Amino acid sequence: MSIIKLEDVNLIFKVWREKRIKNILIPGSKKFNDFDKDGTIHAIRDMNLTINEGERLAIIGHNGAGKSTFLKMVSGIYPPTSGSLTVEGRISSMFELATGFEMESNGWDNIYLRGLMLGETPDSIKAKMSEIAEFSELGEFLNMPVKYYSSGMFVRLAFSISTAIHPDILLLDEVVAAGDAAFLSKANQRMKEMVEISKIMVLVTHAMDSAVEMCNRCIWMERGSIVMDGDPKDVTKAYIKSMV
Amino acid sequence: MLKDYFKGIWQDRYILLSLVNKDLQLKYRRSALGVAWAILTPLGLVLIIGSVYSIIFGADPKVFIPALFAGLNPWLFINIAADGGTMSFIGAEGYLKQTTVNAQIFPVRVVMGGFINLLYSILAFFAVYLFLQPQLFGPKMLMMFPGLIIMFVFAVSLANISAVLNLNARDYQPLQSLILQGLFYVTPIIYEPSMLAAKGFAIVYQINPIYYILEVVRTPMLGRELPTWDVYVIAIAITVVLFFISVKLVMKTKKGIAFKL
Repeated sequence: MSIIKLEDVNLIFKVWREKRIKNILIPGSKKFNDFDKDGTIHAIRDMNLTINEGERLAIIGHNGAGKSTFLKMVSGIYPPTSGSLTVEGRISSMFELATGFEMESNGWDNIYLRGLMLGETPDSIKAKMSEIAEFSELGEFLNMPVKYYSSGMFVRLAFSISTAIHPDILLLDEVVAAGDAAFLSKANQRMKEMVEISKIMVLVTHAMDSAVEMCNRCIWMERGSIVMDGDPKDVTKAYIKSMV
Repeated sequence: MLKDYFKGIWQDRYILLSLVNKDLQLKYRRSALGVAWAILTPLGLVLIIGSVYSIIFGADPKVFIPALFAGLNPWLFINIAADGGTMSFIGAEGYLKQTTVNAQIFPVRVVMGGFINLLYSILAFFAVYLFLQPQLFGPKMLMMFPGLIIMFVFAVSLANISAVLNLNARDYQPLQSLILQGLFYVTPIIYEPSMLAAKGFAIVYQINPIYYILEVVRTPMLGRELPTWDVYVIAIAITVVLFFISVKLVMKTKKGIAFKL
């Protein structure tokens, strides 16, 4: 039984203030930087949400609405500041591009390492290596250090790994868009299959089509809160309307 | 807390080993001699310093060079652990923001890489020593192994502490490297402890924790005698206390570490 449950969850970031002796000694030297007055960002506000098995949730909203933070919180990378967060089930995720790779190592080593970090054992990830390589279509490039990869190639690699490990919960940030058209349609196909394998999927997206096509529930986030929750068609329509 | 610390390392043991392996491979990538550098570097360094000091101090190179070798390489290892530790969390930002890998493996990663290099340099040491003083080889040398274990745990503690402190205040790294450079001169590495004692400054090394950690490895390696039991007691006590403190710090930092990166 997989479930994601949030009860009155808040997440507050502390912004690390730049403290320098210079700023104390020379008054006014800091005038261009008043970002540090408060030093906190309220990224998720009093959120209540339950995602049950079989739900494919799309999250839409402006940049900085807290969508990616929400995903990272569910995956366990950011602990909530207050409230209760329950996540049951094995998670596989894909967030920013090109981070979490060992730049000097080749594609194969990175598949192995990323697989381990997503909870595979050495044997199970080795068994999936060729399938991942095939899906990524990177071919010869896999023998090359990943520091030479383009962002599209990183997407191919990261996406192929994250979706190859059959999780209960799949968390995807909108990154697939950096792939080329051929890969995009392939990735969409893969996600549709994943929906059948994985019990819960959460997809952060700016593409309204994929929200409608791939998901059966959609939330619209604004400033860390849920503005609207419902059928993808209705929510995306309302969202687009609000922008005009 | 201690249980969670070890549980996390055990859980991510394959990641840890794979990272250490990668670090070692990358270090000697595209070099013709490859891993031989791990043996040649300490050897060359010791021969240079050893020859110069033998001339200046008029010490017998046959005695002085091995003594220097046995002290310098463990010192370098401790240095790498403390210095490498400072960047171990910061350098792992990509992993820590992308996956829920246990953060405590990253300081250990640095220490393990340094430790393998230390083992290579010890091999080089014995090769030289066998040539210079073959009569000193004996079972006493086996006491080097418990010493290495103490030193390893000590180094992990240092790496843990410097990883946490540097994450919170980036001033820590330059400060620490200054302290380490100073410690190099007050620790009996390029001179004998007895030389300090003869001038009435024995206290300088007696209050230096690193002296005890070096002693439990260096003295058995030289094969002449073994450290006295009080040296072992002090070395173990320092290591255990430091390790507890460092684990507490790491586990406290681990929660929400992605915020701090």
